[in-house]
Amino acid sequence: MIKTSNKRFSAFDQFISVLFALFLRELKTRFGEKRFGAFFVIAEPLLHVMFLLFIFVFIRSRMMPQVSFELFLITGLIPFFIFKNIVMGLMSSIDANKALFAYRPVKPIDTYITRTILEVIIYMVVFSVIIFAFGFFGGLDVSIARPLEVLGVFCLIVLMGFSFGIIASLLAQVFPITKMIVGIVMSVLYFLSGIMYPLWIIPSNYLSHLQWNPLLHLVELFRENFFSHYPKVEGIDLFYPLIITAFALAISLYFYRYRRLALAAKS
Amino acid sequence: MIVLENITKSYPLSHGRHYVFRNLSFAFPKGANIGLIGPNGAGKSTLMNILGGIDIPDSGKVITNKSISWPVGLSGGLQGSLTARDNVKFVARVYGYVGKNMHEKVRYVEEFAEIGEYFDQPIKTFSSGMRARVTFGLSMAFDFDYYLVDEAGAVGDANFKKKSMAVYKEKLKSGNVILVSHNMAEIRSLCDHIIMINNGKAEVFNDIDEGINMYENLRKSV
Repeated sequence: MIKTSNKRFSAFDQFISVLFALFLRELKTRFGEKRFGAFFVIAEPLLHVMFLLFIFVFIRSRMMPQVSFELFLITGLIPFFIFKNIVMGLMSSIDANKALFAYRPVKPIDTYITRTILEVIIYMVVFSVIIFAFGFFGGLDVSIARPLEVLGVFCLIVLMGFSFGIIASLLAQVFPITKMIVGIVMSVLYFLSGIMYPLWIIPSNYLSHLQWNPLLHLVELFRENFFSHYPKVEGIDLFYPLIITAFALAISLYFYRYRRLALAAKS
Repeated sequence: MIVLENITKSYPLSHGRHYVFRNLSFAFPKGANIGLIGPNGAGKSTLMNILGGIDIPDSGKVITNKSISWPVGLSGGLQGSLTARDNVKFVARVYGYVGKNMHEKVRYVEEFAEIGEYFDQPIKTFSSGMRARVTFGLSMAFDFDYYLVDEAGAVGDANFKKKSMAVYKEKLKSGNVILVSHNMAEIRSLCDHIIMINNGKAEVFNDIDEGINMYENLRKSV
């Protein structure tokens, strides 16, 4: 049992104050000492998305009768990026914060949660800025058809990234090659999750294979609920990614519990 | 109360494992200042790291109801790109000091370190002496039951050494120290009991002179 030196201090208060301290620290480290640090944290994913939009919309313009292609792309890119960044961020968070575990109140899981919250905030801002720009300057209809469902799917994506991120982080501590493998898997997922193409152009015999990927279901559900008339694809359901996430979360937390002291240790 | 129960700790070497401790069990004398002595490589620092929770034993456990500090003077816990002030704020927040209490801690470290406007510069621009002043002040800003100290007077100029000894004495009124040192004068001035670590065993001496004599004999016999 570890006591803190401040006696009137419950475990929950402790947890919150560590999260707050880590959050400010991550913000300050990321924003750096540069004057436009805060700008670049938002601008970097923004530019990435803008660049892809530019390529797809202007250079090889595509026709899609049901929804505008700009919005189609952005509603795929944002969920994917948030998933990818949470997994990658969590995977490197132990090494990045190792020195901090010398302060007993800081637990590895605090750094996982902090990084997840930070990514969520960054991408929510990026998403809002882009959607606003499309609506205000581009004259597109950016109203969300079913906002609560969109939020629910978004939360599930975050939770799935969180679970897989912890699993990746635990594996990376034992097998360093995990980092390379996860990097490769992410770039493959980028093409297999229906980000840049509509699912209905995929022949149905391939589609059933693609549907093993839970992220594909979530991206598709995100779009189905974002647009009012989005063509539904056979076989997309919420149950499958939900089960996968619940399973991954249980496994990640179980093995985290088992390995938590080793994660915080120096060697 | 700090009790070690069946602690086994080993490190992998290029061939086989090196066992620092095998089933080490002993209790620290209650409410006393402890000097840890022993030859190089005996496992003093390993034991400190296990007590501080930054290293874990292969098996066995440390049982305690006391708060134990991080190793005093630990510089790894500082983020190089952040200023000393931000780093101190971080640690204060982590230990639950917010608002006015946090600023109090920051002021304490700032006054203790005496590094002027460098306090608002990124840590990576610091000299090792300046860094040591901040890390030491940071450890002393918080109240723990036990402070883990590896080589109390190892850093800083003569002036700073004198100052740090004074702070130790002050802190020892309310807390205790577990001190690793090869400097017997230092041990004599700060500690009440001696624990000698040798060959994976720990021997507790309630009398300082007895412990130091044993250690000196051990060194001569090698």
